[in-house]
Amino acid sequence: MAAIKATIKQSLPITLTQAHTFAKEGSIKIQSLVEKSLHQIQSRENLNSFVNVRSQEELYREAEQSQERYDSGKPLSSIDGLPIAIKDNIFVKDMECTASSNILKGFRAPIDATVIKRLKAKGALIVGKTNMDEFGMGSLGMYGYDEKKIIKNPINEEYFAGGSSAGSAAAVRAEQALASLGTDTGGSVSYPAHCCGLYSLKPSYGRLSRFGQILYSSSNDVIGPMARTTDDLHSLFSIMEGEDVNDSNCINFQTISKIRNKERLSESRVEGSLKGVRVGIVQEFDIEELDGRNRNMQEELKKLLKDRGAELVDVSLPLVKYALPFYFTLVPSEASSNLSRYDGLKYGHQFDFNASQSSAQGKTKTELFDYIERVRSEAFGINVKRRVILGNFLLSSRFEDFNEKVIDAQKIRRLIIEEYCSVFEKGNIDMIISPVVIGERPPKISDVIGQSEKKNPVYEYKMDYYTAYPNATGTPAITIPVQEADQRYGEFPTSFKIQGCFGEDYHLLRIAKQIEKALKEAKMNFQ
Amino acid sequence: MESLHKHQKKKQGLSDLLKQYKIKVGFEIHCQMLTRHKLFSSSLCSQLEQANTRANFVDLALPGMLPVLNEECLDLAVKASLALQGNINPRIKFDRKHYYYSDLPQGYQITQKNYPIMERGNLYFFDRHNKERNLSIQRIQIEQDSARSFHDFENYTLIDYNRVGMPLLEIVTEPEIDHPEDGKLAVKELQDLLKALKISEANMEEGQMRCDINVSVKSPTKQGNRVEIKNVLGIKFVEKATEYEIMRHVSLLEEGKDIPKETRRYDSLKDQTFSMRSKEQDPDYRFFQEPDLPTFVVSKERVSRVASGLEKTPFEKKKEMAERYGLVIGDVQTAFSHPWSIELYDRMAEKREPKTVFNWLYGFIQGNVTKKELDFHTVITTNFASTAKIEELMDLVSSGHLSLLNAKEIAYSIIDGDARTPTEIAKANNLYGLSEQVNYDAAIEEVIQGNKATVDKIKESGKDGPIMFLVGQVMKKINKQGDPQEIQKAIKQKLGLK
Repeated sequence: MAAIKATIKQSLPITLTQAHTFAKEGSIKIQSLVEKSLHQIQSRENLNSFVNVRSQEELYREAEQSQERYDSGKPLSSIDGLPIAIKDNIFVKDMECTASSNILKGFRAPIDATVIKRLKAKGALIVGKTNMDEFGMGSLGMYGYDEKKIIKNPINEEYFAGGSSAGSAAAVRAEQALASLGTDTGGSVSYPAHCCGLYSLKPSYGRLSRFGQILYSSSNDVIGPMARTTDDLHSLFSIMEGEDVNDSNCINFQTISKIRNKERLSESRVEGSLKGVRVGIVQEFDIEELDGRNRNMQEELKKLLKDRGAELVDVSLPLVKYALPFYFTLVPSEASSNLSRYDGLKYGHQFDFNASQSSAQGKTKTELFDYIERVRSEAFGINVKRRVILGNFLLSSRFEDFNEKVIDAQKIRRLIIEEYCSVFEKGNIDMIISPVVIGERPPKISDVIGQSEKKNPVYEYKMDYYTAYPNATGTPAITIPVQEADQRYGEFPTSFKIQGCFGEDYHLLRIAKQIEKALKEAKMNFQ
Repeated sequence: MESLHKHQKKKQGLSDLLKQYKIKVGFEIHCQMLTRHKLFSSSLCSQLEQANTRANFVDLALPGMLPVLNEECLDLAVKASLALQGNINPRIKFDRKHYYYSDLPQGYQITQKNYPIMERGNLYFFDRHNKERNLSIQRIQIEQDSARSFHDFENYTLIDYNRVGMPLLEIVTEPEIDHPEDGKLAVKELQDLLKALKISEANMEEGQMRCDINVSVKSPTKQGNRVEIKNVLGIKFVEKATEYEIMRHVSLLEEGKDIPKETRRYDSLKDQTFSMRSKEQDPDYRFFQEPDLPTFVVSKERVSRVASGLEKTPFEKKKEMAERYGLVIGDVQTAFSHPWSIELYDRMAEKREPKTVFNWLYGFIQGNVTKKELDFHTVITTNFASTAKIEELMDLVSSGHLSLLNAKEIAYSIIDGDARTPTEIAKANNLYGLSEQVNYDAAIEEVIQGNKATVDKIKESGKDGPIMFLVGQVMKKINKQGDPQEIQKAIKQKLGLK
């Protein structure tokens, strides 16, 4: 019996699309998908991809209900009963939700985030909450609340899985879930997807509700799915997207007047080709620091696109170079503001207030501030403290020169967006391409740990050169994993990123699907 | 008596000072908007509910929660902006103002800094000489209220989150007031406006309206710094706190001292202000545009919809009332201190002499009610059956069936609880009659005959005093049914005086 089970596990599908098809055919049982998830979570526990896994009992009960729906020929959707992992900064009702921060230890989400509500309504089976850099601040999955629990890359455990949505990427790569949700502020979905060889979507700002998402940079943060195919991204995105009365920035895109092509906003599944797709080749993305592997990959991609009938158009976006300064001015400012609600008075980490009370009467205020200071000093990790302090400094009216920088940053964002839109409109561009990151493979854990103290944290900031740009513009971006046909760089894949026009997420997904097909044919896809 | 004397001395001192010193007073007024729901959450607004029963996840600033603007508040803010005749910004934004305190769950207050709902408006009011004046409004901004703290315990503070997130309007005036009493009158006018237009309940004692006062004083040689007095909770305290603060500045300036830039509080029991903190100790608010909310368009449609339902302000109504009935502003002010009575007055004044109606309602009746420490509104609605019995009294007098003197006596007994109609009371007391010249004449003849000495005196001196004595005698004889003025005239005629 055990032997049979093992073979089943090996042959089980690994994408949402396959799993749904098989379940509909009756060739697999939903319970076996759950069993496999739980088995993988247990056997690869050392990856530290999860912070919280739901009980087997609950999961089996939900699997059973889903199976009944399949048996009666009425699955709720193409993701009914399929195991999905959720980053720990998104509310799942009644589960602890800490964003991997000590300051939220013991905090239980009282409700489902809007996106979770929508996924659940379509039958999604949430297996657990995934590990991350504290509040999403970090690129390597090493700033979680337990320093020993660095998230490891399932491809090779000596390497990082990226960050901050490291757990969500590792979980899918390690077949602990068929797909997952991460959140992206400046590459937190794209980069781990790149490190773990997954497809990921960073949607347009405002297409997915942020209600129930623990935000650290409100104007940049978006939720994004990670999976093994573009079809899977499409399924998840189409279920989650759409206006939400609880999020004033999540609106119906059909009502926006300045959208260039309303047809591209909707889901219509036009089977297309790459013929005639206009691809912007951005002069400013070709930088000296880019490594040989990714430089080559860009060239190979251009060739592939051209072969398939796409039109390559040289474009210039001179303001790209301001995306990173913008990012590291505005993001810490928003972080310091958003995190000011964590004062230890209402929920999360607390210590005995009486213990800190001095005997002197009438000093309540001082005591309160002492308490808040102590809670925040104890419970925030090093990277969070860095950003909060930087943000407070930037916003302080006592440093007027810097305070103005925040306003400058907001003005620059406006200019970056205007430039982006005008290049897309003038050149009738469908998408631009870029690398996701600089570097032939993810950093090795032993190269960073123990040395990070000496290293200037600014080093890590540079990693976001390509990924911060779609957040600055609020536009959709898809990471596509890719590996050279001859596998000359070893086990790790690399990737590239395609980035579209504001609101044209579906259009970009359709193009991504064509690229995926082409990559398979060229044997450059990563499995 | 002593305190009254002190008060008068203070007033006198103040008006002398005002000749030498230039006073600048401005206000920052916070009022809770009268809405069903909070500014950015679906919680119901109520301060009377049991503590912490009107606060949801958004109010308590749980992670993952987002503000969503309650458009009801936007409408009320537009209404206030229109009533104060300011420029409504077509696009408004919200900003975060950061500071840590237990009454502020988010760690910041959502307010409006750079793009408030309204700028450059006007508050019209009648000053202490009943002259029409204008106080410029610098801006109106929409913002969140904080929670309510109770510090009266030895070892802990209790917090009621029912108030957190309630919608506030902050109305900032220019520092154009130069007299404490005018300051009080302006704030009062604003309070009346907010109440009348149902923008706020604006009750200062309950904290629905809170007033910060800015005071600066300039001597002929020196400009003093601006001092802010926080949270003055009562209209009369606006005047008193300002008065105290001006005197304090003046004595500092006279001693040649500087006035430190600071924030003070007013203690109404001691009638003094006390320093809270210097301006250097103000928290660094780290203002920052609220990224969880978009820019809001205040559409022309919204403005015209609100404008179409906009009632007249009390100031406009007062002016109209004065013009329509030929009353002086002082009288109109009296009437408007009981806003509910205006409608009753209008109804009665439509067919009668407006001044007479005024004297009846706000003179005889209200004066007596106040003396007896009764509630004016209750007395009018129950004892006088709204206007019915007042009208009856006035009509009895004007038709000559009742003398004014007797009518007043009847009014007083109605105030005391006599439930009969004025006519019934008049008849029962034998005061009801027809005004007939004959009755007068006989009585006057009798009195003249019986008071020869007095009559002689009158003829000699021509003085009024003795005539009034005769009038009194006649009134006694005719059971106070006549009009004393008419009788006086008749006596004079009889005696051949002009």
